[in-house]
Amino acid sequence: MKRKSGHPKYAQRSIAAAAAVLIILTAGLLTLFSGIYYNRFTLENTGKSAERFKGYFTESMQYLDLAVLEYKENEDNTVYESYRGYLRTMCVSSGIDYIYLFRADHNDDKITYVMIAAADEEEDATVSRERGYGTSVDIGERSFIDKALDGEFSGPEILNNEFGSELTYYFPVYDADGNVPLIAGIDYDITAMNREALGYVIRTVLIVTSVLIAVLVIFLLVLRKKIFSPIKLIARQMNSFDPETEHTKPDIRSYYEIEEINNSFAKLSSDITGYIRNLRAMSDERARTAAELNIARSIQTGMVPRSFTLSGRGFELYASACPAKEVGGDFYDCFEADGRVCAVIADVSGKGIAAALFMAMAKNIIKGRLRSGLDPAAALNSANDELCAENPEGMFVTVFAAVLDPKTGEFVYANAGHTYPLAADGSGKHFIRPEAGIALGLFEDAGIVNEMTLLENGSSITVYTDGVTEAVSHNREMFGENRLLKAVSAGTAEQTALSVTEAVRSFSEGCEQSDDITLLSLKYTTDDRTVREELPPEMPSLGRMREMLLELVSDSESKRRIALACEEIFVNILEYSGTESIGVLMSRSPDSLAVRFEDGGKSFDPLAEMPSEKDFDEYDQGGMGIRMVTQIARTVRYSRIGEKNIINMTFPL
Amino acid sequence: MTITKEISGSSAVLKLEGWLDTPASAELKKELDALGSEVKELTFDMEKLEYISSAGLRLVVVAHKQMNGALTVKNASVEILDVFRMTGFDKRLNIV
Repeated sequence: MKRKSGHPKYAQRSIAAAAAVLIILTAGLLTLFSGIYYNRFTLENTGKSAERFKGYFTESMQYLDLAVLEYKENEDNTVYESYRGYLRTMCVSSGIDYIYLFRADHNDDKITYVMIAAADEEEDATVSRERGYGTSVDIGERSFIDKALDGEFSGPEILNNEFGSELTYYFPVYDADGNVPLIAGIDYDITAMNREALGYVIRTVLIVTSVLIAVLVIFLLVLRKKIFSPIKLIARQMNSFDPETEHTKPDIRSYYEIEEINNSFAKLSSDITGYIRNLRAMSDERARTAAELNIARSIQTGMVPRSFTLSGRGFELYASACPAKEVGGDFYDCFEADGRVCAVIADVSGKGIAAALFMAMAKNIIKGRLRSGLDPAAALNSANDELCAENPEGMFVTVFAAVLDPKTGEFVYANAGHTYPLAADGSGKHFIRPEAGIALGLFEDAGIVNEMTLLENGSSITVYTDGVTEAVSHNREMFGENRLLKAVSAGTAEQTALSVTEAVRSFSEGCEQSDDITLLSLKYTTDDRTVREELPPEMPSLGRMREMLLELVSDSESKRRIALACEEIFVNILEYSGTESIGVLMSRSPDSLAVRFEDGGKSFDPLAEMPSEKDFDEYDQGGMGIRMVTQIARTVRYSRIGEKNIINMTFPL
Repeated sequence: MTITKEISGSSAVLKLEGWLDTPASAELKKELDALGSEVKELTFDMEKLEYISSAGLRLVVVAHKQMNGALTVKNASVEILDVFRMTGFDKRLNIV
């Protein structure tokens, strides 16, 4: 707290000042009281001495003829002088300065001296000359003398004359007849008395004050040594307290309270130093963690860019990731492999570095599987085996993986516990609700299955993470599937995706984004000429198949070879699968033809049944068909999706 | 698929016309079975053959075995030769 006045108030100085005031006050009072006391004592003493003298004198007068007091000029005044000598002796022995006898009258303003004696020898000579026998002096104040004339002992009167200040008592001197022919005056020299009194007072005051001063000085010294110096030392230490350096407790020996302050401060400072050290370590740690998180985030952004576009013949794809504040585990992945378009979107449980690491692992494994040609379900099941084996933290990831054949629009997908994709096609917008497998990383047998749909020209699929549907508005509502369904707009893949992210953003305006918002939109667009037909499983269908081919391919050489391959496949299906109907789709692009066979018969992979190189003579048992197909077609791929056998072929034109 | 058969002594010529696909191969099989044991040499005249599938090829092998290798393929078009090449038949057949 700051004082109003400029100077701080020091206890030590205040106490010293108080002590000084005390000393001055004591000295003053002592002076006053001892002066008063001495005065009263003097008056009492002089009074008593005067009365005592009056006693002696009156007694001596009884035996004395007053005539002896008469001084006679030019005579031998031996008696007079001897009496004066007696008086002087009385002066000295009684402590009286002057004794004198004089004549006075009620009606006379003058008194006449008869005899005078002084204690001091020199003074005695002076006064006996100045106030010798017969000397008349004016009366200043006559009340005391009048009282004496009336027979009273009066005084003291304070007289100031050429001999100094005197304290004077008067009493009558009676003759044998009881008259008062003389008045005796007794003077005490006030000046001398005052001098004595002053000496006394000074001595007393000096002694008392010096003792007092000594006591106070010792007291102050003790205070200083035991209280103020330690407090100053502690204050200095507090002032120069530096949490960086270890506090050394000063060795203070004082009263318990002061030592307690010292101990408390030592403890406090060592505590603070400790806390600061901890705090620094903590903030260093936090800074390091933040830096690492930033790196993690930038790596994550490198792996999962904020937006990504992939397009090619027959498809366009747009993905975006808007990570939450914390590093999360959402990811998407899209790439082309072997003429197929692969799209993966996933959400790793949890957040932070662990989720990001798991995400990186899952992403690479799934990508590797898809690149190696596995279908989505096989890729996810295989990734699951690996993730289960290398997952000490029990993390898991929900994944939606799809593969689009941009030549035919065949869209094969598998869902491992992920949110449902949203399809937009000629019939409107709707969620596809595939059989949801179990999220990857949890159980050895995830049992993920493929599902398949043939996309029409212009239809799109949008997949997303739960950051979209579970985005929260400021009134605690969730975005939900219905809003998502409304938000999805027609247009390019990018427009579709952006319409959703924009809807989510405005929905949760003003709320902190709690989860990653990751979105992927895939649009199938083809200007390819496509024919599609369900053919009955019988030989005459071969003719219809050739007609389909004729619609799309005019070059007879190519047509013949493609027809050969198609016939081989068709006949194969006919022979082995026992299906009710064979779906044939042909799609013509400028430089190639895609042919797709689909049948609901029993599982049969003609490629797997293809015999190894045979001797010519053994070909009467068959087995050449598939061999020729693989030679004619640029690619042949078999897949079993759901209850269906699918064979996809492409032919160069 | 039209098959014309000419037999002179121990040699026979089968003229194949049109598409020798899987359904047609059944007809050819019948013709081969109908050849008597006196036929020791067989010639497939493929001048008018536009197309041959694996089922047809199979019958070529069957005929080759039936004649103990005395099988000749003649007048095969480029397209048919292409199929023979694909299957490696060109190396084993007597193609003229």
